[in-house]
Amino acid sequence: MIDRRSFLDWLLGGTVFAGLAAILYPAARYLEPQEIPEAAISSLKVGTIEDFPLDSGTIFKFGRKPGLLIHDADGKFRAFHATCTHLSCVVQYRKDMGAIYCACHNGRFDINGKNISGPPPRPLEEFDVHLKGNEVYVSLRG
Amino acid sequence: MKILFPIILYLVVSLLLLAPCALCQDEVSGCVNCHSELDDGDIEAPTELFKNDIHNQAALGCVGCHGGDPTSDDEDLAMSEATGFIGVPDPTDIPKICSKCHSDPVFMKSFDPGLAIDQYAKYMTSIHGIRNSAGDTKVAQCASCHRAHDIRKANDPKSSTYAFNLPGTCAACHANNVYMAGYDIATDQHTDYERSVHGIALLEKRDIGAPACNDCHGNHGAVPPEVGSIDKVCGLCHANNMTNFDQSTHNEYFDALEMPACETCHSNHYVDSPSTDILDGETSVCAQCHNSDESPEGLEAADGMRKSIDSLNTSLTVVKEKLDESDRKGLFVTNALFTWQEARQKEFAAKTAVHTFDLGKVTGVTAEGLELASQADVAADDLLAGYVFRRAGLAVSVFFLGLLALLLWLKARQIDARQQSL
Repeated sequence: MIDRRSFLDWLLGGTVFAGLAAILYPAARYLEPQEIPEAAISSLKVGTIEDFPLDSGTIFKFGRKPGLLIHDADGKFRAFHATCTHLSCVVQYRKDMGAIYCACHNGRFDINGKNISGPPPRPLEEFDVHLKGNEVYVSLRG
Repeated sequence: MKILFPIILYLVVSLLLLAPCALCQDEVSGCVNCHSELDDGDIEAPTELFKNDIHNQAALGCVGCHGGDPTSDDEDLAMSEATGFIGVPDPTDIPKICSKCHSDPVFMKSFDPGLAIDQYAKYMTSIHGIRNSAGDTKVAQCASCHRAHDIRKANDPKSSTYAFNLPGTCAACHANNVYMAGYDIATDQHTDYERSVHGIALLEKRDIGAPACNDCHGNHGAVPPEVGSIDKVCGLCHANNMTNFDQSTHNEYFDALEMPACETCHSNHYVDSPSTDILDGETSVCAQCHNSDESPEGLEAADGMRKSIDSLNTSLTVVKEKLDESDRKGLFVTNALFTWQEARQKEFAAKTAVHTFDLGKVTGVTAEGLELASQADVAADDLLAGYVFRRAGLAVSVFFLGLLALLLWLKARQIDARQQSL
Protein backbone atom coordinates (compact mmCIF):
# COMPACT_ATOMS: atom_id res chain seq x y z
CA MET A 1 0.00 0.00 0.00
CA ILE A 2 1.19 3.46 -0.87
CA ASP A 3 0.84 5.89 2.03
CA ARG A 4 -0.54 9.40 1.58
CA ARG A 5 2.88 11.06 1.63
CA SER A 6 4.35 8.77 -1.02
CA PHE A 7 1.26 9.24 -3.17
CA LEU A 8 1.64 13.01 -2.97
CA ASP A 9 5.34 12.76 -3.91
CA TRP A 10 4.52 10.49 -6.81
CA LEU A 11 1.73 12.77 -8.00
CA LEU A 12 3.94 15.83 -7.61
CA GLY A 13 6.71 14.26 -9.66
CA GLY A 14 4.31 13.30 -12.42
CA THR A 15 2.78 16.74 -12.50
CA VAL A 16 6.19 18.42 -12.63
CA PHE A 17 6.96 16.22 -15.64
CA ALA A 18 3.61 17.10 -17.31
CA GLY A 19 4.10 20.81 -16.49
CA LEU A 20 7.56 20.76 -18.04
CA ALA A 21 6.15 19.01 -21.12
CA ALA A 22 3.46 21.71 -21.38
CA ILE A 23 6.18 24.34 -21.40
CA LEU A 24 8.80 22.56 -23.50
CA TYR A 25 6.51 21.18 -26.22
CA PRO A 26 5.38 24.63 -27.50
CA ALA A 27 9.00 25.78 -27.22
CA ALA A 28 10.14 22.85 -29.35
CA ARG A 29 7.35 23.51 -31.87
CA TYR A 30 8.48 27.13 -32.02
CA LEU A 31 11.83 25.94 -33.35
CA GLU A 32 10.09 24.58 -36.46
CA PRO A 33 9.76 27.04 -39.38
CA GLN A 34 6.39 28.77 -39.17
CA GLU A 35 4.24 29.75 -42.13
CA ILE A 36 4.60 33.46 -42.72
CA PRO A 37 1.41 35.49 -42.53
CA GLU A 38 0.37 37.36 -45.67
CA ALA A 39 0.91 40.78 -44.15
CA ALA A 40 4.61 40.12 -43.90
CA ILE A 41 5.00 39.40 -47.61
CA SER A 42 6.23 42.32 -49.61
CA SER A 43 8.79 40.55 -51.73
CA LEU A 44 9.02 37.03 -53.07
CA LYS A 45 11.53 34.93 -54.97
CA VAL A 46 9.59 33.29 -57.81
CA GLY A 47 12.41 31.27 -59.31
CA THR A 48 15.49 31.55 -61.44
CA ILE A 49 15.73 32.99 -64.94
CA GLU A 50 16.03 29.49 -66.39
CA ASP A 51 12.65 28.57 -64.93
CA PHE A 52 10.87 31.01 -67.25
CA PRO A 53 11.21 30.44 -71.01
CA LEU A 54 11.19 33.45 -73.30
CA ASP A 55 7.75 34.65 -74.40
CA SER A 56 5.90 32.87 -71.62
CA GLY A 57 3.78 33.67 -68.60
CA THR A 58 3.79 31.93 -65.24
CA ILE A 59 1.29 32.15 -62.43
CA PHE A 60 2.85 32.44 -58.98
CA LYS A 61 1.44 32.76 -55.49
CA PHE A 62 1.80 36.11 -53.81
CA GLY A 63 0.14 35.88 -50.45
CA ARG A 64 -3.48 34.94 -51.03
CA LYS A 65 -3.56 36.20 -54.56
CA PRO A 66 -2.15 34.95 -57.82
CA GLY A 67 0.49 36.88 -59.70
CA LEU A 68 1.53 36.61 -63.32
CA LEU A 69 5.20 36.79 -64.29
CA ILE A 70 5.84 37.44 -67.97
CA HIS A 71 9.21 36.81 -69.54
CA ASP A 72 8.72 38.58 -72.83
CA ALA A 73 10.30 37.76 -76.18
CA ASP A 74 12.95 40.45 -75.60
CA GLY A 75 13.99 38.89 -72.33
CA LYS A 76 12.40 41.48 -70.09
CA PHE A 77 10.48 40.42 -66.98
CA ARG A 78 7.19 41.99 -65.96
CA ALA A 79 4.87 40.93 -63.16
CA PHE A 80 1.27 41.78 -62.38
CA HIS A 81 -1.47 40.81 -60.00
CA ALA A 82 -3.17 38.09 -62.05
CA THR A 83 -6.63 39.19 -60.97
CA CYS A 84 -8.72 40.75 -63.72
CA THR A 85 -9.87 44.25 -62.88
CA HIS A 86 -13.36 43.40 -64.15
CA LEU A 87 -14.73 40.54 -62.07
CA SER A 88 -11.56 39.15 -60.48
CA CYS A 89 -11.04 36.11 -62.70
CA VAL A 90 -7.45 34.90 -63.03
CA VAL A 91 -5.79 36.22 -66.18
CA GLN A 92 -3.18 34.42 -68.27
CA TYR A 93 -0.47 35.33 -70.74
CA ARG A 94 -1.43 34.34 -74.30
CA LYS A 95 1.63 33.92 -76.48
CA ASP A 96 -0.56 33.77 -79.61
CA MET A 97 -2.06 37.17 -78.77
CA GLY A 98 1.06 38.70 -77.26
CA ALA A 99 -1.31 39.91 -74.58
CA ILE A 100 -2.69 39.11 -71.17
CA TYR A 101 -6.09 37.52 -71.49
CA CYS A 102 -9.06 37.05 -69.21
CA ALA A 103 -11.16 34.11 -70.34
CA CYS A 104 -14.23 35.13 -68.34
CA HIS A 105 -15.32 38.04 -70.54
CA ASN A 106 -12.68 38.27 -73.27
CA GLY A 107 -10.83 41.06 -71.52
CA ARG A 108 -7.37 41.88 -72.80
CA PHE A 109 -4.38 43.74 -71.42
CA ASP A 110 -1.15 44.52 -73.23
CA ILE A 111 2.08 43.21 -71.77
CA ASN A 112 2.41 46.40 -69.77
CA GLY A 113 -0.84 45.47 -68.03
CA LYS A 114 -2.89 48.20 -69.69
CA ASN A 115 -6.48 47.26 -70.45
CA ILE A 116 -6.85 47.34 -74.24
CA SER A 117 -10.19 45.68 -74.96
CA GLY A 118 -13.20 44.11 -73.36
CA PRO A 119 -14.84 44.98 -70.05
CA PRO A 120 -11.80 45.47 -67.73
CA PRO A 121 -12.09 49.05 -66.52
CA ARG A 122 -8.50 49.66 -65.51
CA PRO A 123 -4.97 48.25 -65.88
CA LEU A 124 -3.62 45.34 -63.87
CA GLU A 125 -1.71 46.24 -60.75
CA GLU A 126 1.97 45.81 -61.36
CA PHE A 127 4.74 44.32 -59.24
CA ASP A 128 8.35 45.43 -59.35
CA VAL A 129 10.65 42.74 -60.67
CA HIS A 130 14.24 42.55 -59.48
CA LEU A 131 17.01 40.21 -60.61
CA LYS A 132 19.65 39.18 -58.12
CA GLY A 133 22.12 37.10 -60.03
CA ASN A 134 19.90 34.68 -61.87
CA GLU A 135 17.16 34.79 -59.24
CA VAL A 136 13.89 36.56 -60.02
CA TYR A 137 12.17 38.49 -57.25
CA VAL A 138 8.85 40.32 -57.35
CA SER A 139 7.85 42.91 -54.82
CA LEU A 140 4.92 45.15 -54.09
CA ARG A 141 5.10 48.51 -55.74
CA GLY A 142 5.36 51.67 -53.71
CA MET B 1 12.17 102.27 -77.00
CA LYS B 2 14.11 99.03 -77.01
CA ILE B 3 12.13 97.91 -73.96
CA LEU B 4 8.74 98.99 -75.36
CA PHE B 5 9.08 97.11 -78.67
CA PRO B 6 8.85 93.56 -77.27
CA ILE B 7 5.93 94.56 -75.04
CA ILE B 8 4.00 96.00 -77.98
CA LEU B 9 4.87 92.96 -80.09
CA TYR B 10 3.63 90.65 -77.30
CA LEU B 11 0.34 92.55 -77.02
CA VAL B 12 -0.24 92.51 -80.79
CA VAL B 13 0.48 88.79 -81.05
CA SER B 14 -1.77 88.06 -78.06
CA LEU B 15 -4.64 90.00 -79.58
CA LEU B 16 -4.23 88.20 -82.89
CA LEU B 17 -4.25 84.82 -81.16
CA LEU B 18 -7.28 85.64 -79.06
CA ALA B 19 -9.24 87.16 -81.92
CA PRO B 20 -10.81 83.91 -83.25
CA CYS B 21 -12.07 82.93 -79.80
CA ALA B 22 -13.40 86.39 -79.22
CA LEU B 23 -15.33 86.18 -82.48
CA CYS B 24 -16.76 82.79 -81.50
CA GLN B 25 -17.89 84.14 -78.18
CA ASP B 26 -19.54 87.06 -79.96
CA GLU B 27 -21.29 84.62 -82.21
CA VAL B 28 -22.67 82.67 -79.24
CA SER B 29 -23.55 85.67 -77.19
CA GLY B 30 -25.30 87.33 -80.14
CA CYS B 31 -27.99 84.65 -79.99
CA VAL B 32 -27.71 84.04 -76.26
CA ASN B 33 -28.00 87.72 -75.37
CA CYS B 34 -31.54 87.89 -76.71
CA HIS B 35 -32.74 84.35 -76.06
CA SER B 36 -31.62 84.33 -72.43
CA GLU B 37 -33.79 87.37 -71.71
CA LEU B 38 -36.99 85.98 -73.19
CA ASP B 39 -39.64 84.69 -70.84
CA ASP B 40 -40.56 81.83 -73.14
CA GLY B 41 -39.01 78.78 -71.46
CA ASP B 42 -38.70 76.80 -74.68
CA ILE B 43 -36.61 79.55 -76.20
CA GLU B 44 -34.71 80.51 -73.09
CA ALA B 45 -33.85 77.03 -71.83
CA PRO B 46 -31.33 76.18 -74.57
CA THR B 47 -29.16 79.14 -73.60
CA GLU B 48 -28.68 77.67 -70.13
CA LEU B 49 -28.24 74.08 -71.34
CA PHE B 50 -25.76 75.12 -73.99
CA LYS B 51 -23.30 76.34 -71.37
CA ASN B 52 -22.25 72.74 -70.72
CA ASP B 53 -22.46 71.63 -74.33
CA ILE B 54 -19.27 70.23 -75.82
CA HIS B 55 -19.77 72.46 -78.84
CA ASN B 56 -19.92 75.56 -76.68
CA GLN B 57 -16.74 74.47 -74.93
CA ALA B 58 -15.11 74.17 -78.36
CA ALA B 59 -16.28 77.72 -79.07
CA LEU B 60 -18.82 76.56 -81.65
CA GLY B 61 -22.04 78.52 -81.54
CA CYS B 62 -25.71 78.30 -82.41
CA VAL B 63 -25.28 79.22 -86.06
CA GLY B 64 -23.71 75.86 -86.96
CA CYS B 65 -27.06 74.11 -86.54
CA HIS B 66 -29.61 76.91 -86.72
CA GLY B 67 -28.07 79.26 -89.28
CA GLY B 68 -28.70 82.99 -89.02
CA ASP B 69 -26.38 85.90 -88.36
CA PRO B 70 -25.48 86.22 -84.67
CA THR B 71 -23.53 89.40 -85.28
CA SER B 72 -26.56 91.35 -86.39
CA ASP B 73 -28.36 93.53 -83.87
CA ASP B 74 -31.46 93.41 -86.04
CA GLU B 75 -33.61 90.51 -84.86
CA ASP B 76 -35.36 90.11 -88.20
CA LEU B 77 -32.11 90.16 -90.12
CA ALA B 78 -30.32 87.86 -87.68
CA MET B 79 -33.05 85.23 -88.14
CA SER B 80 -33.85 85.73 -91.80
CA GLU B 81 -33.81 83.20 -94.59
CA ALA B 82 -31.21 85.34 -96.28
CA THR B 83 -28.77 84.53 -93.48
CA GLY B 84 -29.56 80.84 -93.70
CA PHE B 85 -31.66 80.76 -90.56
CA ILE B 86 -33.65 77.53 -90.28
CA GLY B 87 -34.97 77.78 -86.72
CA VAL B 88 -35.71 74.43 -85.09
CA PRO B 89 -34.47 71.82 -87.57
CA ASP B 90 -36.90 69.24 -88.83
CA PRO B 91 -36.01 65.82 -87.30
CA THR B 92 -35.42 64.44 -90.76
CA ASP B 93 -32.82 67.14 -91.42
CA ILE B 94 -30.90 66.77 -88.16
CA PRO B 95 -28.64 63.86 -89.24
CA LYS B 96 -27.56 65.82 -92.31
CA ILE B 97 -26.95 68.97 -90.25
CA CYS B 98 -24.77 67.11 -87.75
CA SER B 99 -22.94 65.23 -90.48
CA LYS B 100 -21.89 68.47 -92.15
CA CYS B 101 -19.18 68.66 -89.51
CA HIS B 102 -19.08 65.17 -88.05
CA SER B 103 -18.46 63.47 -91.38
CA ASP B 104 -15.81 65.97 -92.43
CA PRO B 105 -12.42 64.49 -91.48
CA VAL B 106 -10.52 67.73 -92.05
CA PHE B 107 -12.91 69.80 -89.95
CA MET B 108 -13.18 67.23 -87.14
CA LYS B 109 -9.42 66.81 -86.98
CA SER B 110 -9.10 70.39 -85.80
CA PHE B 111 -11.41 69.71 -82.85
CA ASP B 112 -11.21 66.06 -81.89
CA PRO B 113 -8.88 63.99 -84.05
CA GLY B 114 -9.77 60.83 -82.16
CA LEU B 115 -13.50 61.01 -82.83
CA ALA B 116 -14.95 58.68 -85.48
CA ILE B 117 -16.45 60.33 -88.55
CA ASP B 118 -18.62 57.43 -89.72
CA GLN B 119 -21.62 58.08 -87.51
CA TYR B 120 -23.80 59.31 -90.36
CA ALA B 121 -22.83 56.43 -92.65
CA LYS B 122 -23.65 53.96 -89.91
CA TYR B 123 -26.84 55.78 -89.01
CA MET B 124 -28.08 55.44 -92.57
CA THR B 125 -27.74 51.65 -92.26
CA SER B 126 -29.74 51.58 -89.03
CA ILE B 127 -33.47 51.07 -88.69
CA HIS B 128 -33.62 54.57 -87.25
CA GLY B 129 -31.75 56.08 -90.20
CA ILE B 130 -33.71 54.21 -92.83
CA ARG B 131 -37.01 55.32 -91.33
CA ASN B 132 -35.79 58.87 -90.73
CA SER B 133 -34.68 59.28 -94.31
CA ALA B 134 -38.10 57.97 -95.39
CA GLY B 135 -39.71 60.85 -93.51
CA ASP B 136 -40.50 59.30 -90.14
CA THR B 137 -40.04 62.13 -87.66
CA LYS B 138 -40.58 59.95 -84.57
CA VAL B 139 -37.58 57.65 -84.91
CA ALA B 140 -34.36 58.46 -83.15
CA GLN B 141 -32.01 60.90 -84.78
CA CYS B 142 -28.87 62.48 -83.33
CA ALA B 143 -30.62 64.81 -80.90
CA SER B 144 -32.89 62.05 -79.60
CA CYS B 145 -29.96 60.31 -77.95
CA HIS B 146 -27.37 63.06 -77.58
CA ARG B 147 -29.88 65.80 -76.71
CA ALA B 148 -29.98 69.09 -78.58
CA HIS B 149 -28.31 71.70 -76.38
CA ASP B 150 -26.58 69.73 -73.63
CA ILE B 151 -24.45 67.48 -75.76
CA ARG B 152 -21.56 65.93 -73.87
CA LYS B 153 -18.88 63.45 -74.76
CA ALA B 154 -19.98 59.84 -74.35
CA ASN B 155 -17.38 59.36 -71.60
CA ASP B 156 -18.83 62.26 -69.58
CA PRO B 157 -20.87 60.72 -66.71
CA LYS B 158 -23.53 63.38 -67.26
CA SER B 159 -23.88 62.50 -70.93
CA SER B 160 -27.14 60.89 -72.01
CA THR B 161 -25.01 58.35 -73.86
CA TYR B 162 -22.72 57.50 -70.94
CA ALA B 163 -22.92 53.77 -70.25
CA PHE B 164 -24.96 54.09 -67.05
CA ASN B 165 -27.40 56.52 -68.68
CA LEU B 166 -27.76 54.87 -72.06
CA PRO B 167 -30.43 52.27 -71.20
CA GLY B 168 -32.61 55.08 -69.90
CA THR B 169 -31.97 57.10 -73.04
CA CYS B 170 -33.11 54.25 -75.28
CA ALA B 171 -36.00 53.47 -72.94
CA ALA B 172 -37.32 57.01 -73.28
CA CYS B 173 -38.83 55.86 -76.56
CA HIS B 174 -38.60 52.08 -76.50
CA ALA B 175 -40.37 51.65 -73.16
CA ASN B 176 -43.14 54.07 -74.07
CA ASN B 177 -46.20 52.10 -75.18
CA VAL B 178 -47.95 55.13 -76.58
CA TYR B 179 -44.95 56.47 -78.47
CA MET B 180 -44.06 53.06 -79.88
CA ALA B 181 -47.61 52.24 -80.95
CA GLY B 182 -47.61 51.42 -84.62
CA TYR B 183 -44.05 50.10 -84.75
CA ASP B 184 -45.05 46.55 -83.87
CA ILE B 185 -42.18 45.93 -81.46
CA ALA B 186 -42.26 45.10 -77.76
CA THR B 187 -41.76 47.78 -75.13
CA ASP B 188 -40.59 45.57 -72.27
CA GLN B 189 -36.92 45.45 -73.23
CA HIS B 190 -35.83 47.92 -70.58
CA THR B 191 -37.83 46.20 -67.86
CA ASP B 192 -36.29 42.88 -68.85
CA TYR B 193 -32.82 44.38 -69.12
CA GLU B 194 -33.00 46.01 -65.68
CA ARG B 195 -33.48 42.63 -63.98
CA SER B 196 -31.01 40.79 -66.20
CA VAL B 197 -27.49 39.91 -65.09
CA HIS B 198 -26.22 42.60 -67.46
CA GLY B 199 -28.63 45.27 -66.25
CA ILE B 200 -27.91 44.53 -62.59
CA ALA B 201 -24.18 44.64 -63.26
CA LEU B 202 -24.39 47.96 -65.07
CA LEU B 203 -27.14 49.80 -63.26
CA GLU B 204 -26.83 48.46 -59.72
CA LYS B 205 -23.25 47.29 -59.37
CA ARG B 206 -22.04 50.16 -61.56
CA ASP B 207 -19.85 47.81 -63.61
CA ILE B 208 -18.92 50.07 -66.50
CA GLY B 209 -17.78 47.03 -68.48
CA ALA B 210 -21.24 45.44 -68.49
CA PRO B 211 -23.14 45.74 -71.75
CA ALA B 212 -25.73 48.42 -72.34
CA CYS B 213 -28.11 48.46 -75.33
CA ASN B 214 -25.52 49.71 -77.80
CA ASP B 215 -23.03 46.96 -77.03
CA CYS B 216 -25.32 44.39 -78.66
CA HIS B 217 -27.33 46.52 -81.07
CA GLY B 218 -24.70 49.01 -82.14
CA ASN B 219 -25.18 52.70 -81.52
CA HIS B 220 -25.31 54.74 -84.71
CA GLY B 221 -25.93 51.63 -86.79
CA ALA B 222 -28.53 50.24 -84.37
CA VAL B 223 -30.22 47.14 -85.68
CA PRO B 224 -31.55 44.03 -84.00
CA PRO B 225 -28.88 41.29 -84.23
CA GLU B 226 -29.76 38.77 -86.92
CA VAL B 227 -30.23 35.13 -86.01
CA GLY B 228 -26.85 34.25 -87.50
CA SER B 229 -24.94 36.97 -85.71
CA ILE B 230 -26.20 36.69 -82.15
CA ASP B 231 -23.40 34.39 -81.04
CA LYS B 232 -20.90 36.85 -82.51
CA VAL B 233 -22.49 39.67 -80.53
CA CYS B 234 -22.47 37.72 -77.26
CA GLY B 235 -19.05 36.32 -78.19
CA LEU B 236 -17.56 39.80 -77.94
CA CYS B 237 -17.39 39.14 -74.20
CA HIS B 238 -18.21 35.44 -73.93
CA ALA B 239 -15.56 34.39 -76.42
CA ASN B 240 -14.91 30.87 -75.17
CA ASN B 241 -18.62 30.11 -74.97
CA MET B 242 -18.99 31.24 -78.55
CA THR B 243 -16.04 29.15 -79.72
CA ASN B 244 -17.35 26.08 -77.92
CA PHE B 245 -20.81 26.56 -79.37
CA ASP B 246 -19.55 27.20 -82.90
CA GLN B 247 -17.55 23.97 -82.79
CA SER B 248 -20.41 21.92 -81.38
CA THR B 249 -22.92 19.87 -83.27
CA HIS B 250 -25.66 22.11 -81.95
CA ASN B 251 -24.40 24.95 -84.12
CA GLU B 252 -25.51 23.34 -87.36
CA TYR B 253 -28.86 22.23 -85.92
CA PHE B 254 -29.56 25.72 -84.64
CA ASP B 255 -28.68 27.12 -88.07
CA ALA B 256 -30.90 24.61 -89.83
CA LEU B 257 -33.81 25.38 -87.54
CA GLU B 258 -33.07 29.14 -87.73
CA MET B 259 -32.81 29.31 -83.98
CA PRO B 260 -30.71 32.12 -82.53
CA ALA B 261 -27.65 30.69 -80.82
CA CYS B 262 -27.39 32.20 -77.32
CA GLU B 263 -30.89 33.65 -77.12
CA THR B 264 -32.64 30.30 -77.40
CA CYS B 265 -31.32 29.20 -74.00
CA HIS B 266 -30.46 32.49 -72.30
CA SER B 267 -33.15 34.84 -73.63
CA ASN B 268 -32.19 38.26 -74.99
CA HIS B 269 -32.87 41.27 -72.82
CA TYR B 270 -33.56 39.22 -69.72
CA VAL B 271 -30.37 37.17 -69.47
CA ASP B 272 -30.46 35.60 -66.05
CA SER B 273 -27.46 34.98 -63.86
CA PRO B 274 -25.76 31.74 -64.98
CA SER B 275 -27.21 28.84 -63.04
CA THR B 276 -27.35 25.10 -63.53
CA ASP B 277 -31.13 25.30 -63.06
CA ILE B 278 -31.45 25.74 -66.81
CA LEU B 279 -30.01 22.22 -67.22
CA ASP B 280 -32.50 20.64 -64.86
CA GLY B 281 -34.26 17.75 -66.61
CA GLU B 282 -37.73 18.29 -68.04
CA THR B 283 -37.72 21.95 -67.00
CA SER B 284 -34.35 22.63 -68.63
CA VAL B 285 -33.93 24.87 -71.64
CA CYS B 286 -32.80 21.74 -73.45
CA ALA B 287 -36.37 20.43 -73.17
CA GLN B 288 -37.40 23.02 -75.76
CA CYS B 289 -36.04 20.60 -78.36
CA HIS B 290 -35.16 17.38 -76.54
CA ASN B 291 -37.79 15.23 -74.91
CA SER B 292 -37.55 12.14 -72.82
CA ASP B 293 -39.31 9.96 -75.41
CA GLU B 294 -37.56 10.78 -78.67
CA SER B 295 -34.18 12.15 -77.62
CA PRO B 296 -33.62 11.40 -73.94
CA GLU B 297 -29.84 11.50 -74.35
CA GLY B 298 -29.98 15.29 -74.58
CA LEU B 299 -31.77 15.63 -71.28
CA GLU B 300 -29.55 12.98 -69.68
CA ALA B 301 -26.45 14.86 -70.77
CA ALA B 302 -27.86 18.12 -69.45
CA ASP B 303 -28.71 16.48 -66.15
CA GLY B 304 -25.23 14.97 -65.95
CA MET B 305 -23.67 18.38 -66.53
CA ARG B 306 -25.87 19.95 -63.89
CA LYS B 307 -25.05 17.29 -61.29
CA SER B 308 -21.37 17.49 -62.08
CA ILE B 309 -21.19 21.28 -61.75
CA ASP B 310 -23.49 21.33 -58.72
CA SER B 311 -21.27 18.76 -57.05
CA LEU B 312 -18.23 20.98 -57.55
CA ASN B 313 -20.17 24.02 -56.42
CA THR B 314 -21.29 22.27 -53.24
CA SER B 315 -17.75 21.21 -52.46
CA LEU B 316 -16.51 24.73 -53.04
CA THR B 317 -19.16 26.14 -50.72
CA VAL B 318 -18.36 23.66 -47.94
CA VAL B 319 -14.61 24.23 -48.22
CA LYS B 320 -15.05 28.00 -48.35
CA GLU B 321 -17.02 27.90 -45.11
CA LYS B 322 -14.19 26.00 -43.46
CA LEU B 323 -11.63 28.42 -44.84
CA ASP B 324 -13.66 31.41 -43.68
CA GLU B 325 -13.93 29.85 -40.24
CA SER B 326 -10.16 29.21 -40.23
CA ASP B 327 -9.58 32.78 -41.31
CA ARG B 328 -11.77 34.11 -38.50
CA LYS B 329 -9.74 32.04 -36.04
CA GLY B 330 -6.58 33.74 -37.30
CA LEU B 331 -5.18 30.65 -39.01
CA PHE B 332 -2.89 30.78 -42.01
CA VAL B 333 -5.30 30.00 -44.86
CA THR B 334 -3.31 31.48 -47.72
CA ASN B 335 -2.20 28.26 -49.38
CA ALA B 336 -5.52 26.51 -48.96
CA LEU B 337 -7.38 29.56 -50.20
CA PHE B 338 -5.18 29.73 -53.26
CA THR B 339 -6.00 26.11 -54.07
CA TRP B 340 -9.69 26.85 -53.51
CA GLN B 341 -9.49 29.74 -55.97
CA GLU B 342 -7.98 27.40 -58.54
CA ALA B 343 -10.89 25.02 -58.00
CA ARG B 344 -13.32 27.89 -58.44
CA GLN B 345 -11.71 28.76 -61.77
CA LYS B 346 -12.47 25.18 -62.78
CA GLU B 347 -16.14 25.78 -61.97
CA PHE B 348 -16.14 28.74 -64.38
CA ALA B 349 -14.35 26.59 -66.93
CA ALA B 350 -16.93 23.81 -66.49
CA LYS B 351 -19.78 26.25 -67.12
CA THR B 352 -17.99 27.38 -70.25
CA ALA B 353 -17.51 23.76 -71.29
CA VAL B 354 -21.29 23.28 -71.14
CA HIS B 355 -21.39 25.10 -74.47
CA THR B 356 -19.58 22.14 -76.06
CA PHE B 357 -22.68 20.06 -75.11
CA ASP B 358 -20.19 17.29 -74.38
CA LEU B 359 -20.83 15.68 -71.00
CA GLY B 360 -17.35 14.12 -70.94
CA LYS B 361 -15.64 17.49 -71.31
CA VAL B 362 -17.71 19.03 -68.54
CA THR B 363 -17.12 16.18 -66.11
CA GLY B 364 -13.42 16.21 -67.00
CA VAL B 365 -13.14 19.84 -65.90
CA THR B 366 -15.27 19.36 -62.80
CA ALA B 367 -13.14 16.34 -61.82
CA GLU B 368 -10.08 18.61 -61.87
CA GLY B 369 -11.98 21.14 -59.80
CA LEU B 370 -13.12 18.51 -57.32
CA GLU B 371 -9.56 17.30 -56.89
CA LEU B 372 -8.40 20.83 -56.12
CA ALA B 373 -11.37 21.39 -53.82
CA SER B 374 -10.51 18.17 -52.04
CA GLN B 375 -6.92 19.35 -51.52
CA ALA B 376 -8.20 22.65 -50.13
CA ASP B 377 -10.62 20.71 -47.94
CA VAL B 378 -7.85 18.55 -46.47
CA ALA B 379 -5.78 21.67 -45.84
CA ALA B 380 -8.74 23.39 -44.18
CA ASP B 381 -9.39 20.32 -42.02
CA ASP B 382 -5.72 20.26 -41.00
CA LEU B 383 -5.88 23.91 -40.07
CA LEU B 384 -8.99 23.44 -37.97
CA ALA B 385 -7.63 20.23 -36.41
CA GLY B 386 -4.45 22.11 -35.50
CA TYR B 387 -6.57 24.81 -33.91
CA VAL B 388 -8.51 22.27 -31.83
CA PHE B 389 -5.26 20.52 -30.87
CA ARG B 390 -3.69 23.77 -29.71
CA ARG B 391 -6.74 24.73 -27.67
CA ALA B 392 -6.87 21.25 -26.11
CA GLY B 393 -3.15 21.48 -25.45
CA LEU B 394 -3.62 24.82 -23.75
CA ALA B 395 -6.36 23.36 -21.54
CA VAL B 396 -4.14 20.39 -20.58
CA SER B 397 -1.20 22.70 -19.87
CA VAL B 398 -3.29 24.96 -17.70
CA PHE B 399 -4.69 21.94 -15.88
CA PHE B 400 -1.26 20.48 -15.14
CA LEU B 401 0.26 23.81 -14.19
CA GLY B 402 -2.69 24.45 -11.86
CA LEU B 403 -2.40 20.97 -10.43
CA LEU B 404 1.31 21.49 -9.94
CA ALA B 405 0.66 24.69 -8.02
CA LEU B 406 -1.91 22.87 -5.86
CA LEU B 407 0.41 19.96 -5.17
CA LEU B 408 3.30 22.24 -4.32
CA TRP B 409 1.02 23.97 -1.84
CA LEU B 410 -0.03 20.61 -0.36
CA LYS B 411 3.59 19.48 -0.23
CA ALA B 412 4.60 22.67 1.55
CA ARG B 413 1.85 22.09 4.08
CA GLN B 414 2.99 18.48 4.52
CA ILE B 415 6.58 19.61 5.16
CA ASP B 416 5.36 22.21 7.63
CA ALA B 417 3.25 19.63 9.45
CA ARG B 418 6.20 17.20 9.63
CA GLN B 419 8.50 19.87 11.02
CA GLN B 420 5.90 20.85 13.65
CA SER B 421 5.47 17.18 14.71
CA LEU B 422 9.25 16.93 15.21
